[in-house]
Amino acid sequence: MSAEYTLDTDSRFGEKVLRLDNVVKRFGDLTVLDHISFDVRKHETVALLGPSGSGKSTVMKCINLLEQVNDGQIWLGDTDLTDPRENQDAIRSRIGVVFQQFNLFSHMTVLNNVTLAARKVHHWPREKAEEKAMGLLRRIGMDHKAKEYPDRLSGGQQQRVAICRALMMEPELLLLDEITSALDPLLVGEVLEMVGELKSQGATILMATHEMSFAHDAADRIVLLRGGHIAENGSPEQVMDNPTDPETQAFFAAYNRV
Amino acid sequence: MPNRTNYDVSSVEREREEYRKQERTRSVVTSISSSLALVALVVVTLHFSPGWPRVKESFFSAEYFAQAWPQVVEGLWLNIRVLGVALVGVAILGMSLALVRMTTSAVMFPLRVLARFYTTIMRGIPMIVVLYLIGFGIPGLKLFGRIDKAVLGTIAVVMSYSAYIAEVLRAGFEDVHPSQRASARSLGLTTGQTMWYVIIPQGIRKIAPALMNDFISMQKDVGLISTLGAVDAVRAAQIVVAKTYNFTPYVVASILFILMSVPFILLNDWYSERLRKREQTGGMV
Repeated sequence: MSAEYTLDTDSRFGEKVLRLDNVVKRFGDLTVLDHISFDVRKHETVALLGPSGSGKSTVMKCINLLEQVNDGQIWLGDTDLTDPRENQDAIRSRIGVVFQQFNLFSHMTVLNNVTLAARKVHHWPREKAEEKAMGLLRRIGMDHKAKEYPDRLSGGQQQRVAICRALMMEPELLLLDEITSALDPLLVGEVLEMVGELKSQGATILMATHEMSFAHDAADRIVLLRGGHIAENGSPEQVMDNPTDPETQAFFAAYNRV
Repeated sequence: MPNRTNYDVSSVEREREEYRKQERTRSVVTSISSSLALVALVVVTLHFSPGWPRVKESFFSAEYFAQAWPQVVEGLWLNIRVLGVALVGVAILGMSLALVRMTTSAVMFPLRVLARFYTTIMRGIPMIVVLYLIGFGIPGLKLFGRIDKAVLGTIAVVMSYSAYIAEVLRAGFEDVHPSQRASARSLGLTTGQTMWYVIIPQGIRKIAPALMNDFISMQKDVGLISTLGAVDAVRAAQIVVAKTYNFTPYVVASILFILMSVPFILLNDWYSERLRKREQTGGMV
């Protein structure tokens, strides 16, 4: 059954939104990413898995331009992100990002958090920005919290608002960097449920996560990193259910024991 | 299940509560008696000091108090004006220094070095020396004609305090969690917008108590402009002292300075307490 899945070329999805081409990242003598290549296609959800230190976060930071690559290219549509002549602020506003924690600006209300980029970067009038933001908040049942400050919200609510904020400018790609890792296990569900909804609405998502069962159920494709290399790249069934590589087997077996 | 409105309290808890009540009473009694003992000690010591009547006359004379009051109050008005101008000056110069020190671009390199040099040197020099350098050095250049001593004093206060404030501000800005900056940048905000909308407002909140403390300290240090000859509250007191050989006018000036600072001290305490409570109750994620 695994024959119909080949690397990177899943015909169910549209054009390539993100393409990493032989990306290398070193910190001093340590090579964290060693010629990494993979794509994310339109409407596809790709889960980036791997043990701590495998380079997941570094991949996310390179895509988000928080780290500079040492070699290779990263393409967002037709734009080469790694080209220093490109306007980095313009590229960043095409990608929505949610981090592990401390996402929301603690001195601003929920509504101001969600509308900040629209008002200040894209110069929308306040009414237009707030109308759109309220629509997004209403969809996740958070519109009644619009005037609250983030510290009055639960961790799960904060992350859901952070996702709303990332969606505000309709990014081409949504990067979710271990967004449930800092949450109480009881709050993880509501955040993952929201990600599931976004996926069904056709969002293009790249997520680094430790939530194996969620990755299995929600992702269209799993990219497994190990020691700075791509160890596996395929469907959840292929990579997680029927792994052939002994190290991959050991990795998922360790998670199943927990 | 019986519908109970009162909690059943076990004898263990009743006994513990009894003990706590006793402890509370005992601590109140102890603190009152130790305070009374201290007051008694001070009063008795002063009373039996052979020089007390003279000290009392020199520092706490009602007659000289009344005589010095109007002149010292008039001098205080100068302190208040200097303080107001210095506050604005310190805010502008201190913020500029902090921002320059936090830049990373190559163009700003010389300014960055200069700002670092400035804050290092200025925090090292005793303020009185800065006052002399500006107050007597600048007129000594004979470039600008006559400049009011109060203006020179204000410049010296601004120069000295900006260096401290700049470092406090920088500490506050650098204390903002890196994810906040990353979040702002990933929304497409420029470095400047990130600073203005995210880092500065959050940093200032964190260091507000420290800033207010520096403000209170500056309030009394504006009294040092008297060393240049500007007739502020301290200088006005000094003039009366020189005429009467009685030190009560200094006490008048001190009382006025204390009165001026009390509202800000209370404000600072109130704000710090509020901040502390907020940090203890909030702080999810």
